[in-house]
Amino acid sequence: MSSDLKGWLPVDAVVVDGRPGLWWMEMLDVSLAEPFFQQTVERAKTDGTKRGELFTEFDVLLQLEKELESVPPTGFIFHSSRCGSTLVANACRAITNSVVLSEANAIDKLIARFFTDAADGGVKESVYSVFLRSVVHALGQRRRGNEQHLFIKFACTSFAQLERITRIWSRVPWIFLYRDPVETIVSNIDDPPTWLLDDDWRVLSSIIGAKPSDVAAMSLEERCARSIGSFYSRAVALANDRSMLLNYNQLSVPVISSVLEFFKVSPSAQEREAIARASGVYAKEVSGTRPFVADADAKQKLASDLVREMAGSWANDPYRRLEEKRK
Amino acid sequence: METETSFNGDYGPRRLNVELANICNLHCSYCFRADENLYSSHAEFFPIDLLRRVIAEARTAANITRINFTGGEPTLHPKFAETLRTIGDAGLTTSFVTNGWHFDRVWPSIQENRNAVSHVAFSLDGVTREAHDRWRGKGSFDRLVRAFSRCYMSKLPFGMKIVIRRDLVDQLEQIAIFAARMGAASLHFVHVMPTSNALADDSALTLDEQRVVEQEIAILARIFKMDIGIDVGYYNIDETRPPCAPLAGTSMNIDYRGRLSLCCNLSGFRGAAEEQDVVADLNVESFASAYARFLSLVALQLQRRKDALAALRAQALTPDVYTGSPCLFCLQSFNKIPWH
Repeated sequence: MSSDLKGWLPVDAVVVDGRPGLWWMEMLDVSLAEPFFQQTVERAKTDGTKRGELFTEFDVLLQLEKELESVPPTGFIFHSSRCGSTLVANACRAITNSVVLSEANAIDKLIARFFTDAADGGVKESVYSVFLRSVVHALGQRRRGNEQHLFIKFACTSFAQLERITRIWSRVPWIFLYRDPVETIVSNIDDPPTWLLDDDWRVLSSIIGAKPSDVAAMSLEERCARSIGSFYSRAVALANDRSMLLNYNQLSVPVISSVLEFFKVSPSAQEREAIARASGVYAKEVSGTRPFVADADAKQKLASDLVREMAGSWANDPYRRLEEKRK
Repeated sequence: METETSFNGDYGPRRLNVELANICNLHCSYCFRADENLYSSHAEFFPIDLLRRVIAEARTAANITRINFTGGEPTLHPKFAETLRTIGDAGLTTSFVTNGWHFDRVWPSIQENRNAVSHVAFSLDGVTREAHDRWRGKGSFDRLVRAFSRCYMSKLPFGMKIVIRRDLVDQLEQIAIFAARMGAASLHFVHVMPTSNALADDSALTLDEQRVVEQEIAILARIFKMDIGIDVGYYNIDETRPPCAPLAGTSMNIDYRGRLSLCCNLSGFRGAAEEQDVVADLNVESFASAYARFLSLVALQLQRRKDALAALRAQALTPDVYTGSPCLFCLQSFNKIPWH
């Protein structure tokens, strides 16, 4: 059964008939070329190729871990949302024979279970940790055979589970990307992401440290400010010699190259050119043709009083401490 | 020990649990088989001719469709291949519980009779070589893992059975992960039978601890695809239905001497002289007449339990573990406790 899943990837973590498990898709020939993993999944679903799909419980992962050859993680990308992490992920994609898993549902939804379904020290915590390792193993499988590097960009909320993640992969270097709080909040308010709008407030409740009902009642500005403030504080507390802190305002081709070197990958001249090209276009656009425009000033001008108030109340201080730590 | 004792709403197929051998090659301190039988008596094995006759009669009298082999260690039966063949020839299916030590040796017999063997249950004591071998001897874990691999590669479903000793309580999830990794189809936990005061003190859980463990097992059962459960014996005072397959009349036990008894936990246990649980010697009696007495004993035992629970209820007392656990209740009412 499990060996039949060679070339299949877990594309979502779901619950079917009350049982948690994974949704798989046959993706042997599919390159993970899009900025986000789920965009690749959508492309695969609509490219005219008939692809198998199926549900399995998590058990199958444990078999796959024994049977499928996989690339061990090279580096992890964490971020505080809307701060250039996709740009960095795209740069990683420019490295030959690399696999980049960018906010794959199967990973981040499984991590979300640590918030919603796994009390500290209970049986689920250990079980989900093992499943998480196995999901990454399955997603990082050598489908072509020549893959050498595996980069994982997590959803921003997953950063709140950094300790659990690094307990699984204690030697994998990680970076944390962040940005000025006002600019981050403005970007999120302008185009609210699902993590700020989710009906299940347990994740944000845990991150913010407020009751789910209180989270639901908050303005988007407060919800966002308190979340990113929490991310900054966590980064201040947990950054160590295996991590790199990176502010959006530092991003440049040489800095991105230094990130790769931090991940112990030395880009060739050709790869540096590819990184430069990737940096010149808007990172999240699938076609990769929309030019990238630095927008810090514009974001500052757009900030409302409420945005500035919330940033001041919840995010500016941890941001300042994070900057001090980085410098 | 049965191989289908998890009670999850049904009692499983109508079946016989046949003790193939009175001996075992291992000596696990918590085993609820009689030491006298396992290690002091000379080896005795269930006769094949008797097996054939009992199967034929039990199919007619009790509509049984399945035979489970237990022990002692069933793979020690010198005619193990023939016992499997007997089941296949009768058109029934079988499974057996084993410690796995002799699995390599009996593997050809299993392959020859693959149509008859539905699955195998292995006893496990830990998920590492060190942990398992501490209880079962050096080399035991490696043999077991080899047996798992044989089954998995041959697509023969197999399960694991593990007694919940105190030292395993914080490893339930690792056990489940290990079982899933090995490709097990089932993982069944069972509470310790407190066969001595020392064992009760060292390894058995209190009732409250049992409940916590049972909740954790229920959580694991919801997460994993493999069948995870806890075998009967857990605290259960629901009187609306029989608490286990033997008391539902669907599972019958025959010891290595050919005697029909109510429960495999009870027969001949550690010199228990009265043996009220033994219904008939099938060497000299037909299964049909023995089965009628078996059902009478079932009815009597259910009534005893009902009366005991009613008496406690009348005094507004909560049943203790020796009344609430169906296994311990039967052991007690058949004068098997305190353990000899």
